[in-house]
Amino acid sequence: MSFHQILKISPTEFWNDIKNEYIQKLSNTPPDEVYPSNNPGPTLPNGNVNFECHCVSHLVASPCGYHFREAINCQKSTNEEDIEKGACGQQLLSFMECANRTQCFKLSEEKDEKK
Amino acid sequence: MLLRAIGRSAKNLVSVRNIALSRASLGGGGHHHEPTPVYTPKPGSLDWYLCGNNKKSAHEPEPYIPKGDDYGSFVGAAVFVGLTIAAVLFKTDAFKKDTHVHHHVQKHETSHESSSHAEPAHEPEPEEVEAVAPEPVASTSSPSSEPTPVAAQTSEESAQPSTSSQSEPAPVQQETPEVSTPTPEPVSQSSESSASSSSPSSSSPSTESTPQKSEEASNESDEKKKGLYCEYVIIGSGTAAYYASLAIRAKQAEAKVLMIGEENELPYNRPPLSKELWWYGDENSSKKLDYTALSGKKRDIFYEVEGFFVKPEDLPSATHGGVSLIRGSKVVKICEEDKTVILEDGTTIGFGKVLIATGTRPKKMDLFEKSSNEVQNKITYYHYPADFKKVENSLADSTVKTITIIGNSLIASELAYSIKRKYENVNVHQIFEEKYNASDILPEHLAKKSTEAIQKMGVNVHSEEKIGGVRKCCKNVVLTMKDGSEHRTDLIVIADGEDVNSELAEASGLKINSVNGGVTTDKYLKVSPNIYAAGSVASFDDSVLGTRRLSSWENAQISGRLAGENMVLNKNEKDEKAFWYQPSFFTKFAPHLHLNAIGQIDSKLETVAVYAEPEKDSQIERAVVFYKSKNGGHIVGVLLVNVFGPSLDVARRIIDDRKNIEDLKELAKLFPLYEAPKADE
Repeated sequence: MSFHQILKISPTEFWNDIKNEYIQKLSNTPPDEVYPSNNPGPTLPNGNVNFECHCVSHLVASPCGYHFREAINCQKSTNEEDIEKGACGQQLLSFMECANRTQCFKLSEEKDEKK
Repeated sequence: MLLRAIGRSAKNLVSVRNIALSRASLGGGGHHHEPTPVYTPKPGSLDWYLCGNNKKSAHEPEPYIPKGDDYGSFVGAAVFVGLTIAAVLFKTDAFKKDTHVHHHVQKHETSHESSSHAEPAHEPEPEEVEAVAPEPVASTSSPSSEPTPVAAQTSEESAQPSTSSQSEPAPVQQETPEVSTPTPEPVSQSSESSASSSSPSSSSPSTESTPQKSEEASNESDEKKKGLYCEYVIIGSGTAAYYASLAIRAKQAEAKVLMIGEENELPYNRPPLSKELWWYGDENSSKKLDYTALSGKKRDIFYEVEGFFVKPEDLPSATHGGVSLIRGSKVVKICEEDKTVILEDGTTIGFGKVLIATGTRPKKMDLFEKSSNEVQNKITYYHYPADFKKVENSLADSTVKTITIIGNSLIASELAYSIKRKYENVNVHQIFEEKYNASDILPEHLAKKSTEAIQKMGVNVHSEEKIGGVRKCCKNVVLTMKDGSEHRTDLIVIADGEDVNSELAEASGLKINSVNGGVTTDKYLKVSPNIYAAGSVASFDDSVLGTRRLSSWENAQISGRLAGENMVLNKNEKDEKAFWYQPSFFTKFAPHLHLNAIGQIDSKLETVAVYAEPEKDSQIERAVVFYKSKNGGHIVGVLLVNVFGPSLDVARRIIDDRKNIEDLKELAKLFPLYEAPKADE
């Protein structure tokens, strides 16, 4: 056996049945269950918002992180009807004002020149 | 959806989703300042009086220049917030019809008017708000007192504190810290989620800021004191540092984080310097360090804009914390006992927890270090944005027609490929002592293939060559090979290894791993109770693969996050998390040779490569290479050649399970080496 082995697998071989139990089990696993994600996701087990979700990392880390949390928490705990009537508007406004004041987020299109 | 079974029933389950996109746009690596003489104290030589005695005043902050007129778009929370913006738009219309609110508004009309008068002063800012939300900002800037009475509908009592804050002369924007304190009250009263109202109060003991009112009163004296202290200090401003700061703020809502970086740039993403900036950049790339991603969007290498970072002098008084950044500053020592860090200029900054994330720098070559200044002007060690700019500019203006890259590393190989890909007419040479490109990582047959591929696209590869001398001659530089032959070039770019920026740790008496040169940590990335290390500087305990030090971007991200998390957990005396999620790396340095890998990718290990037949039309080869452990033969590394799908997770699973599989051809069936036959539906 050489130190660096080369094996070739033909299409037929590849699509043949898997005999090894362990490999068979893995091949029957849904792709998103093969290995846990490093990203804990947006919802905690108790249903609350998970601010440790990678999806909002830079929002909570920003200088407006507090306002973001407030706005999201308010939203989450208010039903859609009330939101439409204006509940949580203050929180969202505070967040937007903070972001505007600090200019803490990237622009979508044109950017000012950075160093 | 099953990995294989559906493939066999002719549905193309594993969509050959181009991992390349997500990988390419992520990038990453270590970082360092431009080549300046490195401060290398011998252990024990540093004056110990520096610990605890230095009372120099706070560091002079960088001037903060607020950006202009445009409103920042909500990245990431667009989905969350977008709906709410629409809701607010409805709200402003619906609101005026609401009689309850009008009742409250009339009561406080005078205060409302005074605040609405003050509001127009701030309208220039709201006005520049994009079409995203012009109505809510413009129209609610006057009825700004109204939202709080609306919220007060849910509870009368909270109307008082909310509206009383409105009657204060200063408009909402300036008084945000005070306005926001009453706002949690309606929230908590109307909902069970006490997270928001408890977070300011529960985390304030854990921050350095004293309660708001007294804090603002004693702000000045506090500032001087607190300018010398930050609960979380991060040494470094690269990828690991950045992600650590995110993780800290995510876990501790009001946390204050101070990043001290030696480089002058804002924290940036390193891999594009040898990949995307070349592949997708244009003539402006070297100015803005941006490129057009495959999605069509313009992206630059910076993680955040300047406004993201709180000014260092504002951090102590930042009620809800933030991330501060000190640029162009070097930390020379950590005094563990005093819990202080000492900067090169003598400034002392106290910390609660400190993270070492200083990364790596290019390895210097003696031959070039000893050469004349003239020659040294023609040499660039490749690592920093400035290096990209130098090389790109000289190629763009055609001052460089022949470029020579030294080293067979991934960076060197990527550069050779990327430059040739962008500048077809430039003579690109790559010189190295080894036999093939990336021979440290790839088994010989694959290394040979990759070298042939890169040669085929026009790069002149000089393998197994040793450089004996270098001299300037006319406009070029001449390299003399050991065999006597000469090689003339306009510019030399060196990417032949890295040195770990561990001097700081050494000077601080911390342990350095003699094998990999990293700062020794345990499996929690902890060096000692209050000191952590992450990224390419850290030599950590991987419970599956043993002690390692990794220079990949993903490791910087993963370990940065983990270290940040653990710093907060440790502070709160909670259980920390051990390193578990294997980072992967991506490289491409030849056409049709897209490599992704996880685990121990070391060509000194025994490997088994399973190749599929080349694709009929494109002749693209797919393969998976398994790296086997020296002790036991179980799989410790998986390298994927042009293979995508959930393969990286499959690899993580296999490595974690420490399986010793006899028939690796069978194991290869878990990877999409062949596309599923087309469906007939």
